[in-house]
Amino acid sequence: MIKLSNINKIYKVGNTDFYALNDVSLEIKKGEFVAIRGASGSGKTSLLNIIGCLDNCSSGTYLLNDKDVSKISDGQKSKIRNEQIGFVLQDFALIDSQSVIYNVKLPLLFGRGSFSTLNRKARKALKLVGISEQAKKKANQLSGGQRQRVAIARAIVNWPSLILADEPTGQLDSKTGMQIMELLEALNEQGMTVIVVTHDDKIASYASRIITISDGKIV
Amino acid sequence: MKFLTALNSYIRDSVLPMIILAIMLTFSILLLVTTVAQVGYIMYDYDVVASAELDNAYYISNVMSAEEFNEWYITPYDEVSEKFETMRSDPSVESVFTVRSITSSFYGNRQLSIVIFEREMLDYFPELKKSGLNFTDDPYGCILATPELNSYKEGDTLEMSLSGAGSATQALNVLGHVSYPYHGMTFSSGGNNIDVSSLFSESGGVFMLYSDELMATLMERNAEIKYNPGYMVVFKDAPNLDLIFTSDEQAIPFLLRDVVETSKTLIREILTDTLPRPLFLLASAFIAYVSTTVLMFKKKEGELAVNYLCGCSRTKCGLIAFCAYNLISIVPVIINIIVVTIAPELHWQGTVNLSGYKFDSQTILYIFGCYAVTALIAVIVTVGSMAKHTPITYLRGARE
Repeated sequence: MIKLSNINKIYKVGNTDFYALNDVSLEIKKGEFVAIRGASGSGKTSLLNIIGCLDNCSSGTYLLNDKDVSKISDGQKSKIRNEQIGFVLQDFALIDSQSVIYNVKLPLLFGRGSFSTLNRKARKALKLVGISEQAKKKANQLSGGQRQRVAIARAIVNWPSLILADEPTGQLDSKTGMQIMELLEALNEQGMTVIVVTHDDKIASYASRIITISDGKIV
Repeated sequence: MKFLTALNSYIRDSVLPMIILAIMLTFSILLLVTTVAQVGYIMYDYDVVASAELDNAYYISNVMSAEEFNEWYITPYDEVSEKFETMRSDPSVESVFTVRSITSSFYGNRQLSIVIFEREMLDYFPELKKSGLNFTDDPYGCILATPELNSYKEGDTLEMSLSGAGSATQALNVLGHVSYPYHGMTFSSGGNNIDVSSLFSESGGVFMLYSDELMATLMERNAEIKYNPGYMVVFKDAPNLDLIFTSDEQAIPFLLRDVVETSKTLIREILTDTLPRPLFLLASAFIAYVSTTVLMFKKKEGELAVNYLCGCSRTKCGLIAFCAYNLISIVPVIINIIVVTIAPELHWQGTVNLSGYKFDSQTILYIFGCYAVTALIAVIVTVGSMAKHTPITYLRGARE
């Protein structure tokens, strides 16, 4: 499903090049639950951004479902993000001033489906993550765990094949964190490929494969 | 619909500043277009007069008290005609242009007037023809100069009652229409402060050309024909002002060239004294527009980043921001276009007095000009802000 070959991500720091990712090659099969583990600044978020079509790599090749996505336009990448990838981020990345249901509807707003089906699909996703009764509340009125569930509902509303989670339990207490990980595990069991970026070994233990990254290289 | 939902989300927290800014823009643009309309009106008159041969031409104004005016008004038509004929017969005089009007003609329930001037005047002021004053040899041919008669088309016959002629009506042949603002040279202004606009007014009826046949018909029907207070005298060589003073005690002659110069000064005054105020207001509104749009972007940067995460392309994110900023300026533009479009109609209905203003397509162009400036600002703010703060930099910043 995912095949990265000799990926480099270089940032300019003054006059010198900083390699956030250095010659990374990686393959992830459909339906896998993979944890990318590494210390802060190791390059795991840069890797996730490239896998998630949020950022471009400086060099190398990235095949997603056998399609080279390393050199496609922003519009095409947006379509892939919208249809094939769901994101769960540490800070939830919700629009706080908007309702829960609006947040869940967001990928549908930028996708192909008809307007009349948005609410129905969003409610279904909310039901799957167990917070359908909170649909009308503003996102900032929810607890951390509930907000992360909203983020997961949003990630799965288009039923993508890939879920990317960047430190999904980073702002949660351990009990809530475990519940979120169980939710991701359940989604994986339903066939979704899940990639979790974490520095926490306990979280990484949920994955069937752990990839460790250090100084931009897979070790 | 989906785009509108995303747009609504982008603006919902900024509605109040957007409304305040829209009101500010509405008034700034309105003030600018009214000043432009004022200049447009006087420029129309200016072009007509300035295009004429101005040497030795005098506009004769009268300064009369109310009593003198009443006395003048009841002076028999023949007596005044005789005065002008005496002037015309003087060897120093090339032409005398007068304007006659039948002041109390009625069409339906509305008071209209028939304004009659000499054909020679059209030769002297050729620009007048551009407004639609194109006559034929038909002595009963008329050019309509009021929107109330817009239903009449060229070739139609217009039956007009004549003041003083009892119930008798006169059939006039419609030759065409005077273009907006429906005014022509009527020489109806007096006083000692004359500019080009003093020579013009809205006739509020029809324009006709003087002919012996027409005058004979009108007089036969006892129509009350009056000369308008002003007139023009063109001398052959050296002006003989004594001739004017002898026959007209209240006369104040103005050399037409001086009238043009006075008007130039007036136009300059409008441009230098009046125009800076709306321009300053508009500049302030544009600065406020820049500030508001930049602040809106800063406020909604996170939302755009979340949209990006969910599959909204950078172009679409930019379009949402651009459309939101455009909403602020599109409302004032629409309001101003409506105002400018209905203003002449309101004027003719008597709801508002907009004499001296010419609202036309050029005025609308200025409104679009203002819109173009705001659209340009919106593009610069959107593209500039998105280049500086990409969604990925925002998301990265939020996560670190």
